[in-house]
Amino acid sequence: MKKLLCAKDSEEFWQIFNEEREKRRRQLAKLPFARKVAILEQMQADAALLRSSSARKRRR
Amino acid sequence: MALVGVLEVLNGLKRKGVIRDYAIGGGYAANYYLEPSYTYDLDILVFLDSDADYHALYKHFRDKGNKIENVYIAIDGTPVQFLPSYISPLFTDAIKRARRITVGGTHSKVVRVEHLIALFLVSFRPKDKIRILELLPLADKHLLDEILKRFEDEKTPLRQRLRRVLANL
Repeated sequence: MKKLLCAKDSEEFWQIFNEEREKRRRQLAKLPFARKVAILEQMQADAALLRSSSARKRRR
Repeated sequence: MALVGVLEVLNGLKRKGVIRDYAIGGGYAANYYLEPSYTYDLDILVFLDSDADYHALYKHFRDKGNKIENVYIAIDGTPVQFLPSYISPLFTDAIKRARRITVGGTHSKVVRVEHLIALFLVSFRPKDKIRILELLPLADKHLLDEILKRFEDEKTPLRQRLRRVLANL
């Protein structure tokens, strides 16, 4: 984050941003599969909640 | 974890002889190799000899009272799609050579990264192309080439599709 705040222009900002994002992706990819599945199942639960709340709004 | 519940059901079907073997494919397999990302359903490559066995599998779940919607069977709340091996020799090979894994203490198998790339080259949707690019650095290039050569045909030119994905980088 500190690095991002020090970026002098757009090019430098996106370079730092992409490097940091790739670093985070690599860290997440190394998680145990069970932990990844727990994260995935949370995403699925959130998506289901969102779907049912939009369906309720549409019915109103 | 819902996935563990599904795998226990599948292991039970294997013990009973309803299916010969299976392996996790699709988005869940991509999650095994990459960072967690959203996927709706669980694709299971299932080793079956004929469409009669496939019907028997669906009947088994219907008789058990599982909800069947479209191509999905709900198992432990998870929509599961079964991809039978008899429709494609690539599926058979992917199951046979799948990696043995343990999830939450339950044994299972996940397709190798090289087979997963080949399977995504078959389905070839925009999101599959992105996953292919992400999985490629993890693949053994010789094994991937061998798999693509063995299982491509005129309708699904796997190596040509891979070149197209790489050309659009």
